[in-house]
Amino acid sequence: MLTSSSSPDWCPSADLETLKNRARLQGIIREFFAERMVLEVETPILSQAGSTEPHLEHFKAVEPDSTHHYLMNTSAELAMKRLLAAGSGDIFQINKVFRAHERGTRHQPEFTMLEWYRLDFDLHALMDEVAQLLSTLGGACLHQERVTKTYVQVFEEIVQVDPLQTSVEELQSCFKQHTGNDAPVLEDRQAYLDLIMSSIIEPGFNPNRLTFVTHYPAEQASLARLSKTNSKLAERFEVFAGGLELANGFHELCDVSEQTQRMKTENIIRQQQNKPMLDLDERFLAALAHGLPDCSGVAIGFDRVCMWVLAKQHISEVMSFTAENC
Amino acid sequence: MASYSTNEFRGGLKLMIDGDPCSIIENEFVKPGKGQAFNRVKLRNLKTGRVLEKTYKSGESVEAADVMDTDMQYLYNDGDAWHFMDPNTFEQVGADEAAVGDTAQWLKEQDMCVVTLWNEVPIAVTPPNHVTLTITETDPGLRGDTASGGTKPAKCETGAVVKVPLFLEEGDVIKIDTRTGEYLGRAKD
Repeated sequence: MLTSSSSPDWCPSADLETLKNRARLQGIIREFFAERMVLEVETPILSQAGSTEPHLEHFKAVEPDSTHHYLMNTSAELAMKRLLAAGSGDIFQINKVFRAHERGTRHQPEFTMLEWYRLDFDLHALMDEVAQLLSTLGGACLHQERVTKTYVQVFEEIVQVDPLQTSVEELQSCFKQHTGNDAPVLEDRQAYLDLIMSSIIEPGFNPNRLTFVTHYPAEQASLARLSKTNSKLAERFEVFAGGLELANGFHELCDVSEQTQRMKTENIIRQQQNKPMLDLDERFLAALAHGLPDCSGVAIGFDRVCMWVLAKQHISEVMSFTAENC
Repeated sequence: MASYSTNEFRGGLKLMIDGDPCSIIENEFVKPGKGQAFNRVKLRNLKTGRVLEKTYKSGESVEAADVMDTDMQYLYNDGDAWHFMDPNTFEQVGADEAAVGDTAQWLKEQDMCVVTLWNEVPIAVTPPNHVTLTITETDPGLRGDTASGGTKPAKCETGAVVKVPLFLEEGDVIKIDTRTGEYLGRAKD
């Protein structure tokens, strides 16, 4: 089989060995959840409503000669929560998701997401399960020692600022101090936190460890509930293998009025950024109103997991074809 | 004014940064899953050659630099400027010392070079990878010594000084790699 960058354009991006490993890892995932009685589900790629998340942009699907317009999902989260509200119990899914304009060594606009939800799991129970799955996938040869730190801790340890208090000016000078370059002009404080997180903190994580970062600022709660003990923090975690972001998990927000309010706020942010405002997903909100059971859920970039397990530097090395040669 | 969105960034793209034309060496897309996306870009300042780094918010637009690499023939030096001609249009441009810099030592009349034009003014000149030059000054050759492996400096017609094997003499024509300044061999004439 022909491969590698010097190959003709029709050839796969990944080598055959990698594609076999990819299949093997998906097999392990299905076995892992079968043992735990977690049901595999499939939800549509097309959706009539979209996600209002301000930093994600949808691909659009247009049905010819018809008035039907769909958005392609950026994640299966809202559909899976409708299943949970309908009484599905624990569920998982391996599906394709689509995010416009995301291209890089670790990004492709079309990629594979593993997502699962566990009833009555709190954040720590789910983090334990993520660690178990990753260690099952990683095998014995990899460093999987796990470090768990809060968002505030990683900022204090690596850049010596408190992310909940520090002003925009201090964050700008923190960026300059650590990179030697001027910070770009950004909308708000959260964007500067993202800048420092992605350019200084994540690359600074121990390359031989899995780092779990928990309790993100409430402004970055997304679909996570806020901490009962400190409303400035969200019950959200992320997992990094070295500096490679693998997973994002929430203790899920079940309160429909708070969820509605957050989506409206996200739409306002989208408007400020000259992005299209989206109709709220009324079916999802109706499911929340009906009742989402107490649960935690996590989404893992499956291609990234393949990169980590198989020690590949570029996401195209673990995909059969990419947006560049599909 | 032309500009490029970060979505169009790729190696070799020419941008205006702080008033100077720059060329992208490396473009890295970084994005926390739920957060703002950035492009971390490494650029070369085409006037100074210096490498700099910039971080942009993804989706932002940056002014394009009107920079073109053109194959041109070196004609002559009039004491102030080095003159080049586009062999297709016969258009001529004069490059000053700041643009030519160290390349001057490799410039032989009639040779084809790459002239980097910014707003149609030369800002850099790249010599051919290999040039053939005549030795104008060197210590007398040790005839027959083709084996000892020793070298000596030799000055060429364009002013460049290169290390050559001991057996070469004034008037010999040699081939040189301009990227390393190394002697490659005697030119067959």
